[in-house]
Amino acid sequence: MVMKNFSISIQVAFAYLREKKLSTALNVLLLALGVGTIIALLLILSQAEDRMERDATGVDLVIGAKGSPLQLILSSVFHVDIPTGNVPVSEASLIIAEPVVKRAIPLALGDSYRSFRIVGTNPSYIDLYNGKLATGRLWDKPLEAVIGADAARETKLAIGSKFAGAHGLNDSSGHAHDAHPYTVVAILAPTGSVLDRLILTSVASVWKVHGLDEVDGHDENDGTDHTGHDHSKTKEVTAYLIQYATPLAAVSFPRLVNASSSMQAASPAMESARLFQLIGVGVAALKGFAAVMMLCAALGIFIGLMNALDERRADLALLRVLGASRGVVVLVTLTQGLALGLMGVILGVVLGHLGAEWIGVTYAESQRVAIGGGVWISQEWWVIAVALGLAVIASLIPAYRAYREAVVELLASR
Amino acid sequence: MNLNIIKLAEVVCQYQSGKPITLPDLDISVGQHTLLLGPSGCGKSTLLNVIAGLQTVTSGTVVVDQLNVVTLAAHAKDRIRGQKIGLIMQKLHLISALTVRANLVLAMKLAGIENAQQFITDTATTLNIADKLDRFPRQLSQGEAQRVAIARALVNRPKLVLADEPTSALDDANAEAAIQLLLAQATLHNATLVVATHDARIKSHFSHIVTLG
Repeated sequence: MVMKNFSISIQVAFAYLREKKLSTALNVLLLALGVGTIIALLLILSQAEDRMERDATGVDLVIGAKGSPLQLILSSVFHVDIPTGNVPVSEASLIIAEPVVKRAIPLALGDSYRSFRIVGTNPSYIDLYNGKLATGRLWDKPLEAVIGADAARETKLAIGSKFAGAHGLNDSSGHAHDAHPYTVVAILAPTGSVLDRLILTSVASVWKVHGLDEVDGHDENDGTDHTGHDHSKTKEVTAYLIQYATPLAAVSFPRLVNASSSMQAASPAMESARLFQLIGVGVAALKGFAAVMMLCAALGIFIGLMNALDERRADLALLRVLGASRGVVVLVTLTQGLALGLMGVILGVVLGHLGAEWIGVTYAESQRVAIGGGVWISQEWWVIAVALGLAVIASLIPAYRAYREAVVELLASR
Repeated sequence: MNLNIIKLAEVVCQYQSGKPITLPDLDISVGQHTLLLGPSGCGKSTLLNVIAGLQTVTSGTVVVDQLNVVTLAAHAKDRIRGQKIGLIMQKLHLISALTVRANLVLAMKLAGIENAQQFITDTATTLNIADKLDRFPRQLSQGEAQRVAIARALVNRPKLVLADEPTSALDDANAEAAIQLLLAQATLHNATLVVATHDARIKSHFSHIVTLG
């Protein structure tokens, strides 16, 4: 009996929806746009947050030149902004020698190749992101480079390729360092982290390219003792990524850096949170806009069903005359609302994922965070539930009216 | 033994706004063709609605196929209406969003009859609407729509067919054809037929006539 009623309700409800194709399509589209906008936003935010969390993993603190701490984090951890400046190695060496520092990874920035940043660092930077060599070997002398997976794919650089970096970080419009070409010695396997979009080399390479000093063939901070010779007088790096030896260092070490040096310390966790707080206003506005669209869609479904009910009072009476219970008449109305909701949600989910993919592809050049539509996040279930809930709520009043409709009164009025 | 399929005794009913209506007592035998004749507003349609369980009565007894519908729950009345009664109305014919075939299938489903495509085809052929089965009601002429309404009233193989003003809107020729068709189909399906009308043109087709008003 229940199955029979469902079958009848679905048959009649879908016939009604087919009969009013334009109205059905508009209601579905309106709901789909609301759902799609929210889902695209959630996908982009979620992937950006995941990526930022991954990129900041293992970095407790960043030390760099004074300026905006957020800018320091963005430039040194996520590689999306220009650095605040450079810090002298001689001064930084004293700070990073503190016992609370377990590991300090230097970063020397300034050049890029076809928009991919060239980062002077040491092999610990690769270890930080569990990077593995897909082919080749690590650098063992200046001007040798290891290319991240995405950078290698897009620049077509291969083992043995030579290239010259250009001054500047975000494009290659600055003057090229043609006199100091790099040689590719390795390609990294994909890591899903910022490493994929970087070109890595030794700090000494960056110094050599910029003529800061004569290069003596070894890395700073390579784990060996360099106190016997001081060649860091004019040498600078952009930042140090710090790992604490103990969590307690978080209390005192940043204060020590900020108070006793010309450098600043910034926490990736805090600055990321601040960043999301800043962009949160815009995101909340967009989410609010999408929510209003969903509400409008629900209102559209409500109005559509109420109008349909008025137009089809005779049909509903006819169903009752043919032996349909009040339940069947209610089900017909609810099924229409739910069907509109389901179609809107399905289309919305598809549009949301396509939208995220489109944004990922369109802005692939300018962004440092890979975004795509091929992922599913748990918040999407909530969006689907809310959208379907709205569709059902919008159908309840028309369904109640259908339930209350007196067949005889209707027949008598005809 | 002459069994009654319909028996009304001392029935009073009341619309939401209006004075109580006292309906005449009525005895209709199985297989009988009955005409309820009377002017508009005399309670003919109300009487049909009471028999079909669509109109609640204030007092009295309404027995249909040995069941007192007055005492039945709403869902039981719906079931009896779907399974035992075929209703034809003056204007209220078909669901516009469904094809003729889907309208007929819907009536059968509501009556609990499955897999009766052959029955639909046979009935449609008899009523000369076999080529209209895949059309929508808006694509039918008035006469064709009327025949489809008759077909729909018969596809649940009812014991009782109730027709409310089936000929009022038709000209003489079509009215004659419609009533002939209705009588023939009722006889063919062994159904009791009750026609309520103010149209005296069809009087001659009935041996059992109840005059109201």
